[in-house]
Amino acid sequence: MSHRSFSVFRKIFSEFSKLPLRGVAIKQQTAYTHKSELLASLQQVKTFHTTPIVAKDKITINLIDRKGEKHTTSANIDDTILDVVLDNELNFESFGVCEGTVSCSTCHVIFEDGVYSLLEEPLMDEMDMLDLACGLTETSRLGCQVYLTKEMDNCTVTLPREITDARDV
Amino acid sequence: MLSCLQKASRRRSFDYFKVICIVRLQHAQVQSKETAVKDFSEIPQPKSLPILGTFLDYTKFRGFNVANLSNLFKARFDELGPIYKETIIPGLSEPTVHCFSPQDNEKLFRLESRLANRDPIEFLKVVRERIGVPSGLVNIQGEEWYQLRRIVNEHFLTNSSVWSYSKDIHEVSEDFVDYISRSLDSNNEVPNFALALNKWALEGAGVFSLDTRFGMFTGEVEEHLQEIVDNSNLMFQLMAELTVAPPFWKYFETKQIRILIFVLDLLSRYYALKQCQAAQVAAIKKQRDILLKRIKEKDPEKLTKLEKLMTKEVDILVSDMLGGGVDTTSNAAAFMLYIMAVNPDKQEILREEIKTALQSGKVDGKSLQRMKYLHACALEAQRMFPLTPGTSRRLPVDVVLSGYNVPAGTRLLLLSNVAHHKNPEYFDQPESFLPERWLERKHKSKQEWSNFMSTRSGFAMIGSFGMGARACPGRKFAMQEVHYLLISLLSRYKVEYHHKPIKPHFRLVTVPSEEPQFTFIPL
Repeated sequence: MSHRSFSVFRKIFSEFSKLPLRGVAIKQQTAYTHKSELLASLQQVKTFHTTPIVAKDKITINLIDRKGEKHTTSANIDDTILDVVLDNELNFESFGVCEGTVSCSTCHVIFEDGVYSLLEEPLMDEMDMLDLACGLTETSRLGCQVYLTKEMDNCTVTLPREITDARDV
Repeated sequence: MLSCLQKASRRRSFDYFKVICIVRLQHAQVQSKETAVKDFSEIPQPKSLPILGTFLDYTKFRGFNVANLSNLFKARFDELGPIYKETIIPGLSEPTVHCFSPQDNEKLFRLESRLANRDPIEFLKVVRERIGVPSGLVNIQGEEWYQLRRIVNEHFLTNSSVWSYSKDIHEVSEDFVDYISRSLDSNNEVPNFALALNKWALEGAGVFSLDTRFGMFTGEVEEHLQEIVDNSNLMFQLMAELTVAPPFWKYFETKQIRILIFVLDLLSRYYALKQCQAAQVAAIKKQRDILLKRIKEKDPEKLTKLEKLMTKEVDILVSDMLGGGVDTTSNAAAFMLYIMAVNPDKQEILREEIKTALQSGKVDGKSLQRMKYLHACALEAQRMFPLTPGTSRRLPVDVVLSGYNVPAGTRLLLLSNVAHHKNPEYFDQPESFLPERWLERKHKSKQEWSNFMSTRSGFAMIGSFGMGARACPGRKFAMQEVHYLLISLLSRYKVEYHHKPIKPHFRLVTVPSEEPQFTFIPL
């Protein structure tokens, strides 16, 4: 390699290594909720993308918190709602206390009608915990079990107002 | 500087939120139909003697048998109401508040924060310290528990992880049913079926904790494994006795403690040997390294405290997996098969669902979650034969329970399984096995169903796995194992039972009162 192309190569490499890691490494910040096979993902602890992360992997999602404030953020497809909240450090109080293991109902969110019908039917474990959530509606789901798809671009997800029982107050 | 302030304000706002939460709850309590909040000292107590306290109630003197501990709780509930406070030996034991009310369950469920606090199993902690192994996930608290639990959650409670073992577990259950068919005697029973169930549970536990097949059904069993099975039984018997025995073992080595030390030492040495082969352990260790690295980047001081802890704790995880995953699962399976055997009509309905699934080839991990009747049968079996009387907590904040103010730091036992699992107020026709009750949601609107569940059945039953962030980490594996057992067995055999009726007996986990000798009729 000539001297000039080597220095170009070195420059590209140093730029390249500053890119954020995709795949499992980022997800370590949150409860690991990606759909991929466990063993395969463990073998590739660090995966580098050879191309920069492109917009088509992301969608925009609006989240309305318990006080009624709207947060708009971009989110990766195949992440869960809980991932979105944690990755973007939205700091919703008492959201996802059990970290996505379907042991509580604090990540209870309400979808719009049109978006709700796009979602896969909840699994039995989720239904058991969803039954115990406060203020259950016809379009409620647990945020840690809903994976984002392209069709959900620009949807609005609402957190219910109270996490304690509405009947107490 | 700014980031420190930001962090501090975030933490403060969380505490502030907690305070608001409690104040709101207490305010609501006062405003509601109940009278003003009563003091902690007014909580009803059982009759107790001057020095001995209520200790005699736990001895043969009053006809007590550790197998009937749940009956004692129920008797107290009938006498004293939904909350009572007991100090077994004044001066030696601390006052423990026993709660039975589903409303209290709900309150604690909603209040649960990230760091759920449940008392360690004291004697287990002492014994493990004596042997020189770490205390284990069940015994640690606070931030240490939280960091270890995050690793455990990712490997035990994520769907992708659990479903990756579904094929192997299905094979285990098929091998087990082959073993049953080879071992049937002239009465179509398997001699000593309880031991066979233990072998099945151990085989399954070996798959997900050590990624190996022990070969309990192929006849080439390693010589140590029979020892392990026998010792596990002994271990649970000892642990049950030690739970209710007076805490003399804190001061000198009782005979029970010495036996337990020997047994646990044996088991832990065996597991340490097997660990080298385990892909699962390697995966957990890798996960732990990543987590430690991330903590190091954010907060290096935390690291030195946690690092040593987590290295050792991961090693003990394997023995916890094997210890916690055998006796419990085999008892759950015994109760499940019993309830199927005495309800042949329900068995038929389940068989139809299983046959449909097998014919369409959909029996992977995810498809199991779509088999509604199977899931409902498991819930109903948990209701009728709860594997534990409930769970316990130590309160982080003051809470008002059943109209009494309970201060922070009090030890609570939540025992609603014992009191309400057959309470007609919460479950219609409580003595009947009716999986349909858990499927009624399709006939009601979401709002109606949610009200029904949260005012009635939902919190009346804590279930066999506890609740909240500190619920059993192995529950998804256990449910998967039992589901596959039912799939393999009911598709090939009809299960019947022709002996004395089985009742639940308490032995740290609930066990059948009679030998689970089932009859298997080939289809």
